[in-house]
Amino acid sequence: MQKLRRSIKSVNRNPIYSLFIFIPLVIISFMFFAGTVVDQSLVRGMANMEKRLGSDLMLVPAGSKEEATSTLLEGYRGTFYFSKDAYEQILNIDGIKEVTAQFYLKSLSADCCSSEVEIVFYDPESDFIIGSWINSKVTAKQDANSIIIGSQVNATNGYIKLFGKEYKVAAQMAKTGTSLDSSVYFTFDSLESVLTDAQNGGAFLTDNQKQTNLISSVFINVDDGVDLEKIIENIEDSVDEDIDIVYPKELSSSLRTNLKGIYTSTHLIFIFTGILIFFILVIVNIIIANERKREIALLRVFGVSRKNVISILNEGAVLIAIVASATGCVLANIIVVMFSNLLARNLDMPYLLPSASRIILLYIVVIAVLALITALSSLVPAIYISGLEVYKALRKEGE
Amino acid sequence: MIELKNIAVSYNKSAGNVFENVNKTFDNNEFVIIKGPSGAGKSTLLAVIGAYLNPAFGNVIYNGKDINKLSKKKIDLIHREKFGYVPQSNVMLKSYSIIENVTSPYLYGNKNLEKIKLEERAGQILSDLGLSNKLYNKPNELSGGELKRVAIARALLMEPEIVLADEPTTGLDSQTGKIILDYLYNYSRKNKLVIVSTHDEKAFKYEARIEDITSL
Repeated sequence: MQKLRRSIKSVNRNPIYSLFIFIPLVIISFMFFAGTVVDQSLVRGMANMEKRLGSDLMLVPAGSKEEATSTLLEGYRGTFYFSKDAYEQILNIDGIKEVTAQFYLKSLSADCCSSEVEIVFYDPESDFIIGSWINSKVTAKQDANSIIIGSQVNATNGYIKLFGKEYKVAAQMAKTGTSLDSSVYFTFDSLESVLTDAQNGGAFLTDNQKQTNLISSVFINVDDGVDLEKIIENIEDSVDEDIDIVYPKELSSSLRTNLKGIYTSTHLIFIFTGILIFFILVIVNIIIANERKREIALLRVFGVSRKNVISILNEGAVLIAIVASATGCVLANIIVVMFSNLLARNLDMPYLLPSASRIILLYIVVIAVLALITALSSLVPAIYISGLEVYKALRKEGE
Repeated sequence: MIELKNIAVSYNKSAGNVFENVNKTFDNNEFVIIKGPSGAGKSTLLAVIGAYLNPAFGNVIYNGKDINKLSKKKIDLIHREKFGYVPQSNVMLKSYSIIENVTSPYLYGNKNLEKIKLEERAGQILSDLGLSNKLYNKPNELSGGELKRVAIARALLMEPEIVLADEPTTGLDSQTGKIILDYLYNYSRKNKLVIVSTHDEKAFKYEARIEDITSL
C-alpha cells in the first residue's frame, strides 16, 4: 500500500513526463492487443474453415467457380444451379467415398432475424458437411417441418418463423465465424414447400430457384490413396452438364499462405514499434532520472540504499505502464469487438473472435510484458543516477 | 569522534586539489564553524567528513574505522542513524508534504521504523522551529527560510551523533538565521558534534571552535 502511494506520488510529481510514458504505452498496448486479437481471429476462423470444408472436391455449374470459392471462404451462398442429375451421375464412380448435394437460397429476409438469413437445403442421409457442425446441446431428428439454425440465429421458444410459417428448431450449429452462423438448414424434403411459401410470401425467386430438380453444389470425398486426377476425369466424363471443380484444400493452403503473410507483417510491425517505444521510454526515463537527480542524491544522503533508489525510480514508471497498457487493451477490446463484423467483411477471410479466456490471458500478457519493458527502460538511468557520488549529484551549478 | 588524516580532495586531476594534507579531529559536544570565502572548499570538506564525497587521498576515521572502507550497507546505516546533513540548497521531495519530506527519507526500505512515531517526532521538531502550521503544505508553498528549517528538522530527526550543516543561513534574514543557528548550537550541547560551514558573521558569536578553511 505504501509502495502504491509512493508510486502515485512519483507519477503526480511531473504529470507531463508521466504523460510522455503513458501515451506511447497506450499506443503500443492498443496495437499489440488489437493486432493479436485480429491475428487470433483469423487463425481461429481459418482453423474452423478447414474443418468446415470437409471435402476433397466441390462440383459447381460451369462459370460459377469464383462464386463457389466465396461460398467456401466466407459462407455466403451463391445463386448457381445445375441439374440434380449431375449428383446422380457420379454416385457410382469408383474411388468416391462420399457424395452429398446442397441447394442455396440466397439472402432472404426472415422474421427471425435482424439481418438476412441464408437458406441451405441438404440431404441428411448423405451429408458429411453440416452434421459435424451441429452443436450437441440442442438436438432432435430433423424432418420436413423442422430446421437447423446457425449459431447467430435466434429462435423463440424453440421455433423460428420463415415466410409466415413456424418451424421447430431441431438443432443449432456451432459458431464458425462466417455467414454460416446466420444461415438456416432444411432437408431437401422441405424444398418444395419452402419455395412455395417464399413465392406466396412475396419473396423474389429466379426461374432456377423455382425448380425443385436443381442443386447448387455437390461435395465429394474420395477414398484414401486414389488418384484424384483420374477421379476428376471420370467425373467429367460421367456428368452431362458443363461443370467447374473447386479444390477446397488447395484453397485452404493458399489462404494459409496469405494468413502467414499477414501474421508476419503484423509481428514485424509489433517488433519495430516495440523497439521504437522502448527507446522513447529509455529517453523519457533518462530525462526523468536526471531531473530527479538531486532528490535521489538527497535520499542517498539519508542512507536510502541504491537498491531502494532504483526501486523508487522504477515504481512510478511501472504504475504508469500498468494503467496505460490496461487502458490501451480496453480501448482495443472495445473497438475490435465493436467492428468485428466490419473487419471480417473487409478482410475477406474467415474471422472468429478468440474465446473470453484467451482475451483475458491476452490482457495479462500485454500488461505484464509492457510493465516489464518499462521497468527495464527505467533501469539503466536508475542504476546510473543511483551510482553517482552523492555530494556531486546534490550540488547545484555554482555551489 | 571524527578524524581527518592527510585528506586531499580534487574534482578533476587537471584542476588540482581543492585542499590537501588536512589533518583534524572533531569531538562530541563541539560546535564547529568552518569559515572561509566562497569557493574555498567549505562544502567540499563537509561532504568529505560525512562520506558523501570520497577524498582523492587520506582517511576519514569515524569511531576508529575508515568510513570509506566500510561496506555500502554500513555506510548507508551510518548515514541513516548517525549523521545528519543539511545541504546548501533546499532540496525537497516535490510531491510530498513537509512532514513527509522530513520522515520519508528514513522510511524508504526501513521497515523497523514506525511511521506514526517518526511523524510525531518530526511534528515536534518542526513546531520547535516555528513550522507547526506548515506540516501538510507542499515545499513550493514555503519560503527559502522555512525550507531551510525543514532541512534542519530532516537532518535532526533521528537524533544523529553528527550534524553537518552547509551554509545554513545563506540568503536568509537575520531573524531566521538566528533561529537556525540557535537550534543547531543547542543541539550540540546534547553531547553531539555539529559542524557548520558559513561565512555568516552571526555564527562567530556562539561559543564555537572556529576553523578557517584557508588555513587548514
